[in-house]
Amino acid sequence: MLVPVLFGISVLAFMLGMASPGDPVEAILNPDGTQIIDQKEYDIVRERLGLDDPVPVQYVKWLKNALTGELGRSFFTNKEIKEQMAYRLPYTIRLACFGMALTVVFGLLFGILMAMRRDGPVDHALRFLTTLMLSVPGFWLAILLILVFVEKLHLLPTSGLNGFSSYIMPGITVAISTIGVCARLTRTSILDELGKQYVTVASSKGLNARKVTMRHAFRNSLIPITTFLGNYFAGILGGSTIAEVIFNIPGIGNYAISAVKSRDYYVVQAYVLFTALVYVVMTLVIDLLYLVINPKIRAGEKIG
Amino acid sequence: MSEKELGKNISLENYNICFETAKGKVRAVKDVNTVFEAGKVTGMIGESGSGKSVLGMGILKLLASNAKVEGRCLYGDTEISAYTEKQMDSFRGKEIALIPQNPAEALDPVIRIKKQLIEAVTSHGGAAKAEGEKRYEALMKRFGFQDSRETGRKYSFQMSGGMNQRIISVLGLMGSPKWILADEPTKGLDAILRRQVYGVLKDILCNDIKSMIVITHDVALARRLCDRILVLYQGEVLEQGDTSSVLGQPLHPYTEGLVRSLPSNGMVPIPLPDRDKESESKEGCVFYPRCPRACSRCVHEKPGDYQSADGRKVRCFLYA
Repeated sequence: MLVPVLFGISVLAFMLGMASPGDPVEAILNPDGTQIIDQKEYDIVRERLGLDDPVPVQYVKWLKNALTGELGRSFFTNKEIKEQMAYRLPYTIRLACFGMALTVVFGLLFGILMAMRRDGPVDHALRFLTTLMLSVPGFWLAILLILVFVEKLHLLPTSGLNGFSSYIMPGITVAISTIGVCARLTRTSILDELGKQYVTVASSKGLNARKVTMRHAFRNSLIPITTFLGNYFAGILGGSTIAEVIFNIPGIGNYAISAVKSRDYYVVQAYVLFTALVYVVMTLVIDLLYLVINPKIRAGEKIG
Repeated sequence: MSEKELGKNISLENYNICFETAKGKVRAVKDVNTVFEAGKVTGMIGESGSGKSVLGMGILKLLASNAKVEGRCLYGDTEISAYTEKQMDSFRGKEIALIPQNPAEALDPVIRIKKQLIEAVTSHGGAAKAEGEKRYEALMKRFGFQDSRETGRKYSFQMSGGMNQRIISVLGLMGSPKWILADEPTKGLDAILRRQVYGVLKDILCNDIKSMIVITHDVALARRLCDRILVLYQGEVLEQGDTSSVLGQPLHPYTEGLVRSLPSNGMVPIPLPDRDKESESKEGCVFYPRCPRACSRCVHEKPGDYQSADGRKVRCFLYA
């Protein structure tokens, strides 16, 4: 299943480069649009980029290189894409892990609290808060955070990298709406489970409400939550563009944005391929996690 | 036997349960006055929706959050209907344990069977895990699981319906309760499993627990198992008394109809409610629209619980 998906994505990624407007040759020779391009010079650059080959040939060449990790050089900076990616990836991974940690901790915590205090003041307050969180646009929040923590309180660095503290605001920006969604998903999943008969039976054994919720209802509600969190993690691993640009973190998302701006389509192709790979790998990881949390899948042949 | 082994009487006084729903109040249990005697098996019979399961769950206070209970439920002299959640936690499973309905859905699908069963012992604190293990081994053997270790490692969805049925019976006994509340133990089971359930309950009665409440629509099971019978219809107890007299010489027209509807008695159905009668009586007897022996008094007046000569209580003007 994974191989055909990757193949399909690779074709699409390649086509995306082909279909995008603008001429890369022109972009290289005439970056500011003021020079007149000599036809001979144009042809040389075109040949050097391999753009004179027929499209399928270009695709096969590109794919062969991509499979060996050779993603080519940027048209624009003439730097190895592979090296650029390797340099940028750690920043994105750090940001993604921090965002994920925030989401897991607060999303689950809020969700459990809401479910346990259903229809009480805590539930109402958190429902209001989470709705607010999931409807706040990331970029707006980022600016607000800068205004408060940097301009007014002078607590955090605006941009650039000064260790952990520089990930705090980007992390919140990346996580905020997902915390809201995750908390609500956790709440409904737990409430769904709490209505089931095995929960009543667990209470009839004399277990208190907290144990019934945590040991039984929450464990069962982990199944939908894992799917959601896995997809989210894959998403932010592919680079959280807004946060990276606003806080000037040299991650993958930032790289992709500058490539799109300069029509650097080898980079865009590499980026699309990379995000697809991340998704496919995360899907695999989620499937493996299911084996851990859902014995029905582990038991294999005896499903249902 | 002493009270220590039998437990205490469970009495209900003017007991009502209603549910607040989007469409308004639904009264599921109405004005129940009865005593479940310790050392006896009391059966609650009635058709689906008659409120028998709700009444049972009400005693254990395991109702949905939109349920409202009025009246009192006493255990001996203590009012358990006034217990806090915390007090209920140490009461459930220890004084009254539940043998739930739908065995397949009564067990947590992601937790191994043994762990779930032992939880019924460890939840009450004090008791060490080792004690739970010992009790688990002994009970599983008794209920026909020779390889209790292997079975304990499984999940409920890996077991057959009959096995799950036996496992939830073990579950009810794990906490060494004084009372067992068996909720629809034969619901949806075939004849062979029904016989197994009867055997299991009989076994529990002979060896472990003498005080039991059996909620069932299975009149045949109730007749064989129970000392006393409560007949419920639309949330009201219409007749209560010893099994032999209630099912042998039924007094209330509904009980009479119920007994006559048994296959062994010719399967005569109780007539469906009369539309006109249904709309005309809102305050009257709940059975009035279907009652073959209704009189004019039944339309607007609710009958009380009238004592008959042999000590039964019947909610019908015929015995006023």
